Amino acid sequence: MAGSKSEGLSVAQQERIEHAVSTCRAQNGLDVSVLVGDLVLEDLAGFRAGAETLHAALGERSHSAVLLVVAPGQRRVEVVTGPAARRRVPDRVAALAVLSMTTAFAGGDLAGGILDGLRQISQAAGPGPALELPAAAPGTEVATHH
Amino acid sequence: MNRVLSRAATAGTVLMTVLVTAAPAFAENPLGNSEGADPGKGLGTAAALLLYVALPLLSLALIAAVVLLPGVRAHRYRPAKGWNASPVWFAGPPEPVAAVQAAELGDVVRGGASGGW
Repeated sequence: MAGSKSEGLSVAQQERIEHAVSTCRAQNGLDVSVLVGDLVLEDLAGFRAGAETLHAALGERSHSAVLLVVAPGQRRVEVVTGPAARRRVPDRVAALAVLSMTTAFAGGDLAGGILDGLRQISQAAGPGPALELPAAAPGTEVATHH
Repeated sequence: MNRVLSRAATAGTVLMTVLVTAAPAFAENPLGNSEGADPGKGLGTAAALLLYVALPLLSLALIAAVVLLPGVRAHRYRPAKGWNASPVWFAGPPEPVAAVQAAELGDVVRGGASGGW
């Protein structure tokens, strides 16, 4: 194990994140989405732009969606909010969520940090009417060329 | 030099105290066993080894296993070691790759925050 790269999230950790995401959608009516993985970038300076492209990929949803991009290998985290979502999750709240996430990530707690961030964001958003789950099952593994 | 001497004296005193207080345990009864004292058979070498060496080592190993094993199995993220798992998108678009390729940023102002660690 020594020298090898960190393994991905365990099944139990993925289930906990899925549960947190669906709880936030059901109880807060907030369209949150979480991507855990490194982005294919030439330069890390383009990370924010890459995350915004991923947010745009949510299509019609993106206007009211919050996307968390966590790149464990690149050690970057990004919260992207659509214009409507920004009213419920102001940048100040996103910054606080990012702060607690990076603290947990630096300590090696990937899943715990994501759960913390989701909790802060959904608490700030407050309660709201439940959302339907998107067509795809949560936790889709994205096939990319590595 | 003085410190070495005083340390040696302290160690010697401690050792002697232990030996002196333990002396009755080593003493042979010159009058023979009396008043119902019956020492019984001594512990054999194998039994002594089992009781005083094997069993403590076994319990030590057991406790160490209980403490350490969950940590070995856990998927621990080590920031310095990189990441090679494929990306996972929770509540993402149905066709992630196609959606990202077709994504249009538009002139929407997006909010949020960035961070690194």
